Amino acid sequence: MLTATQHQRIDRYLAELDGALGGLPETERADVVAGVREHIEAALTDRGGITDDDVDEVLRALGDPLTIAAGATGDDGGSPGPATVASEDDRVRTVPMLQRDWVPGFVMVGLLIGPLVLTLLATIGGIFLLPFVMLGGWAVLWISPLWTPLEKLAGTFLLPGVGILLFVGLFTTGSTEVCGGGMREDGSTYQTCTTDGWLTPMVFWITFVAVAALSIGTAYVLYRNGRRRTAALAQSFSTGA
Amino acid sequence: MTNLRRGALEYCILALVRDGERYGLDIARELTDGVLMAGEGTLYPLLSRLRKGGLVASSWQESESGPPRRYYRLTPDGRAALDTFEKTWQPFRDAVDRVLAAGRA
Repeated sequence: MLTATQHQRIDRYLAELDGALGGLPETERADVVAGVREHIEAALTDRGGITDDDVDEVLRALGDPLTIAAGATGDDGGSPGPATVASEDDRVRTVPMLQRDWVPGFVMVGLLIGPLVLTLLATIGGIFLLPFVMLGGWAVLWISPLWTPLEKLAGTFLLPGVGILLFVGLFTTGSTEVCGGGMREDGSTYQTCTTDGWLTPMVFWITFVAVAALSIGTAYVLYRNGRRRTAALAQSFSTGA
Repeated sequence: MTNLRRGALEYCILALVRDGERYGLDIARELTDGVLMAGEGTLYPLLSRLRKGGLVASSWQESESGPPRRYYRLTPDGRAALDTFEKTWQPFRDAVDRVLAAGRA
């Protein structure tokens, strides 16, 4: 991990870059700084134990913040580059549909909250909605570029886990309870129950708590990452007006 | 940086992501030879512009070590721009060479 001094050095470099990019719209500036920050992290991860010299070397290879800024803000008027030509409609560009800020919330509702609530509303027909809600959630989760493949895989199975287990617990008979009772000779009554089958209440509740924890943990990570990425995108796409 | 170099660099970036997704550091290392790009950092304003222009798109991917990385790939618009550039680049370069040679003679 980085020492405090190394962190400081990197932060100072990024602050200098941010300052040097003053000529750019706020939005583009944040995008460039985020890219460079990612570059530094990736370059340092490639090495083993990180020394101060490693940090210096990575920053030196990036170049002087002022040089980077000069390339970014230089006389933009007649650049023959393809980006200039294609970005004339920058001001009307909006963030693509499946990368907007409602997407993480939508996926959470579809895959975590949907199965839970609809299971509880099963008696009034909620169960018929369940396939649609979940398919919608899965589709958005997989099509949206907000998450990595690993995150998508985790979300696919772990998010609906708790709701599905609740469904199983409520509506299937993994076990049967047999009770018998009667009256003893002294007039008192008695009742004994035995549970057959693999799914005893004990096993069910332990599994339920474990799966619920996994579902909620996954939801937290995916929602947080998703929101962070939509925020970064919104910044890079906004008009900067 | 001159406009000419920056323009050419943008097409070089498009060419590097033509055959598959690559992340920033990877692209930067490929381009930093002291001729095209003086420092690796120069890449990021260009990537930002290309993305805003819709010529490249990006997505986050897991990395074996460290945080997820942003991978860049060519969009259909980017592919079209690159194809057009490739078609004009060779005659353009030849024409410039001819004029330079004529000026020397």
